[in-house]
Amino acid sequence: MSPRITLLLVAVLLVTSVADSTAQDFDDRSATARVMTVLSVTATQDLNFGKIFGGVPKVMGNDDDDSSAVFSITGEASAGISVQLTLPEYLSLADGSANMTIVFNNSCCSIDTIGTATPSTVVGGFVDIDPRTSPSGVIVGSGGAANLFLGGKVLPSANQKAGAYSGDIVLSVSYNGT
Amino acid sequence: MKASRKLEFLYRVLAISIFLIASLVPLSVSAQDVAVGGAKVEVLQAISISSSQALNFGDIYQGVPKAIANSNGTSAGIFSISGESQAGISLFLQLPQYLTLDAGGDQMTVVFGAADASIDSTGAGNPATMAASKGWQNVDPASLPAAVIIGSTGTDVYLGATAIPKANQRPGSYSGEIVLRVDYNGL
Repeated sequence: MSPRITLLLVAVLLVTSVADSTAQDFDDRSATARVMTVLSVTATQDLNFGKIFGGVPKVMGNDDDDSSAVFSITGEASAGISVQLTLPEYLSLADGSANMTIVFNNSCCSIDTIGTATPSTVVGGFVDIDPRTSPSGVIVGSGGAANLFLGGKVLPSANQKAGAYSGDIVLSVSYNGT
Repeated sequence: MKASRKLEFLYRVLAISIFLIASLVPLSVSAQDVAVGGAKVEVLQAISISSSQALNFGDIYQGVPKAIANSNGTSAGIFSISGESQAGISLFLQLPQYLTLDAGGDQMTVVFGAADASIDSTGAGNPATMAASKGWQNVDPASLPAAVIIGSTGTDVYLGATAIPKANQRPGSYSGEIVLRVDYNGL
């Protein structure tokens, strides 16, 4: 191959290289995402059975403004959420020396998806449902709030040790993309 | 120039990557939350009742009734109640109509008047010091008041009565049972 031909090939390769290089360009379109309002849940009122007597069960409804458990949820208005309650089987004395059975029946929970209700006034959403199941279709209210109300029943034994008993009720909420 | 464009390309790729990571990280953090609430209840102290002094008429004579006042410190019947301080209680006395000769073979009438009981919410345990300001004085033992509470140091029931022996009442010791039932009433 003559030097002239060789030089020509090199020149072609350089041009091609330059062409490849300059053929790259940038599209100004960018990836976008909108971060939804932070989902938050707060336990605003404990489920409070008050004072009871040994051997005498006591029921607390989910419609008691003063004593039903209340969880307040805030987040993206009208966004679908999943709710999951973890319920105790017993309440315990602070020193752990005695337990008391607590039960939750299949209608002791209500979810207010309007976000403005109290336990006694809830009408929109899910009324008297099973707290162990997470119903589909739960949303944060249009005002960015929802509430969950919970009742229960304690079953003290006849010789139940006197004192203050307590237990944790855990509510997990998450966006479900609906 | 080419080098600067390549550098610009790299910057854009880096910027887009940071943007995407920054967009995704908050989503994964804020898309869920957990709250821990509580259930609570207080079990009241169990009620305890003891008969700390029997209603004692002492010696009596045939045909001569004998009354013991509910304020008699040594002879009135005394029931002592303990439990949850300030809790409301309901009281019910089951009273005998007769005392029975311990050896058997005879009975003696005993009557409880409409003012034969007092309830001392100070828990003093002493009928002789009872006063109206301490609770309910001289009330009907067959229908005890409804608003009774257990005082901070207990509550006592003092009881008097009248024994009515017959003219031919057989000598000997007579006795009968007085039963006091106490329940929390939620007040």
